[in-house]
Amino acid sequence: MELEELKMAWETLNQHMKRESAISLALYADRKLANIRTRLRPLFIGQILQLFFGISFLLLAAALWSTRPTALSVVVAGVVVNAYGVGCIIAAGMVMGAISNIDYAGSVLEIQERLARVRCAYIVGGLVAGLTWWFLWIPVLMVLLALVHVNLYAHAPSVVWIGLAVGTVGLAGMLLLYAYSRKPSHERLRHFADQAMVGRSLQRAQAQLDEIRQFGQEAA
Amino acid sequence: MEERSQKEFEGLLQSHQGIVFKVANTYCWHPDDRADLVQEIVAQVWRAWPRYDPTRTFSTWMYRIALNVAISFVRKEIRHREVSVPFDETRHDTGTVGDTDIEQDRWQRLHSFIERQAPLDRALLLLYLEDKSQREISDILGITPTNVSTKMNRLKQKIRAEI
Repeated sequence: MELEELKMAWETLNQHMKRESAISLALYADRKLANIRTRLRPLFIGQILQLFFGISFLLLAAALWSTRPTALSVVVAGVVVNAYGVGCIIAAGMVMGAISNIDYAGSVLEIQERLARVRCAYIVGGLVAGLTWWFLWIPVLMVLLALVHVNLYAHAPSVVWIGLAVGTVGLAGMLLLYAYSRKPSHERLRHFADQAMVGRSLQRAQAQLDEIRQFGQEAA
Repeated sequence: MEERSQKEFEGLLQSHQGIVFKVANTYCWHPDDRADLVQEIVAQVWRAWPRYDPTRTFSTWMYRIALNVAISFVRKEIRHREVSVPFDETRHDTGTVGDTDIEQDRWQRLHSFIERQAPLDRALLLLYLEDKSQREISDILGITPTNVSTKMNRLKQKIRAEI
């Protein structure tokens, strides 16, 4: 197809689509523009949920502090739970801030790269927050029991130590399996590890980032 | 003051509505998706309006927002649906009076070519079809004019080979 024919085809194509979709911008002008619904906020909604998740841990820690615990093991568990809550809130706030600061009037490559980076950071943050549960269940359990005046470490220290050992072995096992799956000869295992541990969301976000960077590179 | 600003915005939006429709047509084939995308673009353009610098070209500013929103929209839709909506001739007004068979064949081939392109390449193709200058394309996409030139040559070769 010649260039002129291509451009004619482009105009015809647009005429067809405009006719069939019957969308008029006048429809939007009739409404209050500020109230137009937007769907580009899925990350934002995820962060709000994370914010509430973090707040629930802070409330749990606050409940513990109100009982004025004296046992060192309970205080340490409370500090861990409190720190996890603060960490969740800070991480959610940072991503929300990054999303809010994105000005869509920036150049396509710049904005798309920033969006993809925020998405990668969000997914990695989620992975880290999830992996900490190999250990986090122990202080959470200790705090919950302390609220009913039971010191888990004083009554059953083995539960804490076994829990820590299982967490260490579990986390180390996951990391070793992941490292092992990276070898070129373990294609199927890598696929499984990517699906199970890293998740398709991160793979997709990284693929998008690669695609954007490749697009921006000077072609040879 | 705010009312005047809104009036000015609506005027500019009306006079540049072609940008919104063409970007929506490039990224969405299904009429419902297209309507959603148009609404999304208008919402983001309105949000960005207070930061618009009148010394800059309105169309360039609007292209940037529309393309950014469209690419994000398409990526989000793909994430959620896992499938793209294929071109379906029965959904399109293929039998319009006035179109010859050759014309129909041309725009359908162009349609399926656009559909096969990655989101960023679609943006380049759209700007090329809209006769934008190399400098304007570079400004909208955020790549160097040399890169635009190289990519345009490759795109033309691809068009020649595939359409």
